[in-house]
Amino acid sequence: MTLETEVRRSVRSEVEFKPFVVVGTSYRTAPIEVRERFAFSSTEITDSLAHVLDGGGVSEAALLSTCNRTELYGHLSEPERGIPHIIAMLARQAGELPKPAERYLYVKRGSDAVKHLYRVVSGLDSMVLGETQIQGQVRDAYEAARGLTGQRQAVRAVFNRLFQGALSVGGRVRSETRIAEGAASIPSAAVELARKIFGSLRGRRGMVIGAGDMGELTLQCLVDEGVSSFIVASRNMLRAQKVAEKFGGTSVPFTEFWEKLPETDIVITSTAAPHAMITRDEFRRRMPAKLRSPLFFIDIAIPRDVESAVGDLPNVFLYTIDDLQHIVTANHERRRAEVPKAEAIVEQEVESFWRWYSGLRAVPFIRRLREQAEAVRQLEVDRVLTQLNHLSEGDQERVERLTRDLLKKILHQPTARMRAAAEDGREHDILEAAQYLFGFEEDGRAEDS
Amino acid sequence: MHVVAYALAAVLYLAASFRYTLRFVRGRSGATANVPLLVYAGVACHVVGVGLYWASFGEPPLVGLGPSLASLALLIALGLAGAALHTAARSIGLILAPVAGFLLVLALAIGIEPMGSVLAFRGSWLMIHISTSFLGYAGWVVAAAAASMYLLQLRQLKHKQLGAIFEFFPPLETLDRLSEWALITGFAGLTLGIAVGWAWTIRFEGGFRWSDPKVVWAILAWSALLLAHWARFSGRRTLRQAALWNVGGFGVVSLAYVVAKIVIPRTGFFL
Repeated sequence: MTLETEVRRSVRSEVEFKPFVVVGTSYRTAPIEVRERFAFSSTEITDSLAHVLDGGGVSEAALLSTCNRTELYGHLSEPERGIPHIIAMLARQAGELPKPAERYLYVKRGSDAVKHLYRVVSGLDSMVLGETQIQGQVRDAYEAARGLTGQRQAVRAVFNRLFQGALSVGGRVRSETRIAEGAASIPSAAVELARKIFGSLRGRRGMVIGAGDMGELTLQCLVDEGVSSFIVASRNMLRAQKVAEKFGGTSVPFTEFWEKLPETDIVITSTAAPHAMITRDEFRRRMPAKLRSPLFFIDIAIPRDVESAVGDLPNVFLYTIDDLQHIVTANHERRRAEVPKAEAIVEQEVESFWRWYSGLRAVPFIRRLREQAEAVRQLEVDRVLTQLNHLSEGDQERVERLTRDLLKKILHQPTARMRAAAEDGREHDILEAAQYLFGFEEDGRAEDS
Repeated sequence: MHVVAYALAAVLYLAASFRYTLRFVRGRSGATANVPLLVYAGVACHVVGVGLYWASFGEPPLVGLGPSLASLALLIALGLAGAALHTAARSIGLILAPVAGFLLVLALAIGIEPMGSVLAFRGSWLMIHISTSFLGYAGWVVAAAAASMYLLQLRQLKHKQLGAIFEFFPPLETLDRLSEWALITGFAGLTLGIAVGWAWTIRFEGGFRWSDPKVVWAILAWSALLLAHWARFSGRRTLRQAALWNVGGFGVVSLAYVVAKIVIPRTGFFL
């Protein structure tokens, strides 16, 4: 750290006012059965935000509630009152817990709270590093908070900037690093491979042989990607029908899967069979001599359902659960290697937000300066125009405009400099000097939006 | 002036090649939307170059090795620009951008000027013959590039070695479709070019000279393209085999061209 940075940082920390807080719980502090107690539905979010704002001490707020975290972000007008009120609200939502609610909650303040939000939106604090869903969830939280208007307005200038900044950080991290690249789960690895074989999966035909939980999860991912028609073949017809109905497919008895195989592009096998049921010899006997289009087997059964030699056949792609796991592990490593780059972006953006926020301290002073200057201008213009009453309306308007423009130009530089000084943490001395020069008696730094 | 426009196009193609290579080496997933912008800009400069050439010499740049290579480069770049409109196919620029850039640089080094009076431009017949033949060759270059990328991507998927090629190259289906369309265009173009050339030769020179290396090479190229076409569309070969026939045939024909150009003396403006 250079001497200049050190000095700047120490000066800033002395004068820094940090009225931000995040109170929340996540997979890091609470197990799922506790996290789900803290979860909020979309209607509860609005009511809870209104409650927090009504309770006093909090001027702006947003509530993020996902399966992995519940966090309330607040801009505090009275920290001593606001934070206990937020904690009480979250505790009330959770109700009876094995331990006191506070044991599962964390509280971060000031720059740490801002940094936390930026890390969350970037996927750096996610269970699956770099996951992209959180970006949309933060956007939803921001939009939900913006939905509160009037007296209980939850988002004003500061949170607008904070959340827009956060969403932009998320975008930067994902475009400038590779933290979100590569599949991070077995079903998504299967989908990624399918897309590299077939391009778009829209209109592709799938088949699930055996209907285990992982098979169902993988099918869900494929359906989400556009696989529109699929068959579920299982020894348990009831289970097959249930899965088929859930996703809008058809079910067939297990014994019919060979007949349906030629009509299929993607096959997920997840049976509990003790030996491979699709062997190379059987495949060659039952399937056309040369497959004209690719066939992708996703074998997630243990022991395997598809003999490994099937994968050697032309146009056949065979991936087992181990293959998919290797892909996921390699992607995780690659994502982890991107963390320092992502953290650097977050640091940069937190610094940028903080500079903007610090600049707000000059706003009341600037406003007052402008009001005072405008009052003087108006007084002088009125006086002069009374003397120059022979001027036409157009000329009087020109005089008005001239003086307004003149004032704007004269005040531009001092106000820009005051804002810059506040951004750099030097507002104390500068504003004091300005107060003395312009004859103000109070600094009015309470205004922050 | 036309040389400046051509040179600018070459610089833009090479800059695009650099961007493609950089993304590939860094293991990024595909080419972003702004990489093909350099190709589009290059094509625009290239077209301006063609216009200026035509205005200066009163004929399109089709006669002479330099002008021919420059026009072939333009058609390849147009093929790339067309493919790049489809997001998933953009990455084919990794091969096609350097090819277009290299051919244009080679043309500039040879000199993009019309040949002498012996090989003077002879009206619309020759123009149709050369331009459709070039369309055929350009189509085949695109098809062979897509087919070679198909083979490499297929290898990654089959061997489960999911490295930079897996990340950057387009999906198999996209490469196959691209290769298919380029083969159709290439085959149609070359067939038409040869047919018009045959008719043109009979009209102006009284008959086909089978001993002319240019004719032999053109027939070889057309036959290889026909085989690649058959392998892809007959249904008797797997997609991998079809891609191999395509790339193999293209390699043999390209090699034959280079060897003929070196070995046979006085091979004329094209061969």
